[in-house]
Amino acid sequence: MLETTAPEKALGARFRNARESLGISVGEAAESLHIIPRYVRCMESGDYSQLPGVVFLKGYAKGYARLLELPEDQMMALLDAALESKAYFAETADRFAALPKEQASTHHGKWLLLGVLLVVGSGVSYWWNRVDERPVNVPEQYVEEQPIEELHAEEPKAAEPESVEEPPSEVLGNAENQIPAKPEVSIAPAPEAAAGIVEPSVSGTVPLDVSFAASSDPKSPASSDPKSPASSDPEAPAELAGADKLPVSSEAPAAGQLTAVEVMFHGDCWFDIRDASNERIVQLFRSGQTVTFSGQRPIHVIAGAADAVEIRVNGHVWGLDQYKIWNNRVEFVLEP
Amino acid sequence: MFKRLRGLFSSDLSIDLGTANTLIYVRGRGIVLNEPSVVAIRHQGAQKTVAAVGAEAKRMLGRTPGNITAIRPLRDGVIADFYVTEKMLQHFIHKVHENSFITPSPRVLVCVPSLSTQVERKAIRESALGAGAREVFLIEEPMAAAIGAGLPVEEATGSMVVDIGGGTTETAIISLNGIVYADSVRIGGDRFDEAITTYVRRNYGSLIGDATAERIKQEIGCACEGLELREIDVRGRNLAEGVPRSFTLNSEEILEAMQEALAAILQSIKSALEQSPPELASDIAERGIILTGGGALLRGLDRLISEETGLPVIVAEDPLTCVARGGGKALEIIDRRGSGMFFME
Repeated sequence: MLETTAPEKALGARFRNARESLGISVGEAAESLHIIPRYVRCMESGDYSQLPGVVFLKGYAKGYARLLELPEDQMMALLDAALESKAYFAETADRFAALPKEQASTHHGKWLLLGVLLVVGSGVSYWWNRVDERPVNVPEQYVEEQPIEELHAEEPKAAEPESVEEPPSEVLGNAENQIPAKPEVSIAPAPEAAAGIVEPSVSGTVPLDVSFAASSDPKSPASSDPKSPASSDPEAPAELAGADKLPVSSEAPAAGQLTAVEVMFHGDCWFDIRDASNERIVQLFRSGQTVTFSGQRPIHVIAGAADAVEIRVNGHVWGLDQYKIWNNRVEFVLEP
Repeated sequence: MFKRLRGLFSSDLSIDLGTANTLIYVRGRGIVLNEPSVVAIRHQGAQKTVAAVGAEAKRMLGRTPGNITAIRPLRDGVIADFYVTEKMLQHFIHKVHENSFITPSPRVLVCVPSLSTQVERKAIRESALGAGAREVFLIEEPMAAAIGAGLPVEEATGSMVVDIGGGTTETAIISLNGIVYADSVRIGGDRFDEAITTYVRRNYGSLIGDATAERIKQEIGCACEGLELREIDVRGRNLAEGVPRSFTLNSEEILEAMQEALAAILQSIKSALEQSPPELASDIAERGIILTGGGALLRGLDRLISEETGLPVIVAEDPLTCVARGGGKALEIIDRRGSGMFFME
């Protein structure tokens, strides 16, 4: 038998007092409630262990309160308080409440799967981005196959012999300068340069000339790092200064096959230019900048802001009105 | 395979697919949905589309234009319209998984009337599978109600439960996790509403809708004499004059209207007591009868049954949700003891 506590005693006492004040015997109360007299006595004494379960106890107590004209809500609140202290009734009331609410393994499986998916997803995304940015691999054998003599033969005569002696990494994307005097230097290009995507360092005030000697060898690690601050080439500053001119390379004998595209930006514009050999410039240019591109036709041009660019092809103004401008974006191809 | 994968992101559900209301209990979250089992169907030529489901559709009952039909896809506790039931279940399952970014495919436990036929059970199972469930368990409503009410169903003592739903009243005697005796009468809350509508038409010459009849039952309905007398003002269409008229009904009139339906329920309970084995009858006589379901909320019903049977009658706590809660607990038992305990084929 469980020990009774204060709320049960208080509740039992209220039932008993009310019954006695109404002059009803336990037997009469039990008969009215259709329950056995023992249950009435148990409720009055607070000994709930003799009762069949909490669902029945609550039902009996509610009926008893109604019979004795006691406030039902108040009595049920007292009963709830009394039941809270009884472990026996907690079990009887809700035997299955003790069962685990959730299967932990299901939850773990869910989070494990989510984690695996996340890792795989990020891996695929990383790989995909790498594929996009991956440089066109120039196998060393390819460069080795290219006789140095041939490279020299393609060298324009206008090239400064001094600049040829300079390491290519210190030269600003010049066709002549890209052909190194020292073969060991040419076969160790910067990865960006090998990709054929040149991201010239462009400042707001200093226009930039970029040219690609596509004719010499489009796949050769032609371009050098324009950002290299350690340039010892005396020609380099001069080239930087000569912003609105085509590079010297365009004047070279190979220029017959090349088309020089000069673009001046009057506003911020995303610009993409690509020649037949897949040499490419793609980046956002700021207002006031100029870029010059030399390459083999067909040259594919996309400008994000058609009204912010002025394009000259081989020195002639190239009107964009002839092309369809959609949402201020223009795209055209300079056919051979 | 995909259902299993989606199942990892779904919660197990216990569905009380009732004639009047559908309740859904989610493990660990409790009752998450309690909506009327009503679907509004829009007809566009030969094509049918679901216009609204649940409470929104119930508001349309009796107020729809020609191209919309608000229907209750369950009748007498079983499926009357397979397609619409499937659509309704689909809507409800999605509703309880609103935050899920993957189409849910939960394990679903559906409560079915104890005397439902194989065909009716198969229809419910197929309907739940069609709505996206990956596994469907069926449990008899009185068993779920008893578990939900907190009865000691696993003990070797007789417990009697009477579940008064919208379409059916289920009476069962349960012992040792099994149903010893079950009876199901196709009388429930809906029959009370019909009785009130008929009474009003006969005595007041006025027509009232189902929604009004249900409101009258909930506000002033009572099952026995000697309770507080209540009144309600009702507006209905006068049959003779053809115009809306207002009149007042009191609880004694409603008691008179519902007498026949109440007598049928009483008869079902008495016959259960008559047919129960003596040992179990003795247990029931000592402990009493538990009332669950929305019908148990009818004022004075416990007193009526108690007076008629001479047994203590107890209305379970939150009787409307007992079946769904019991189903939820049964799902927990599946994980502990396997699915062979309470479930039906």
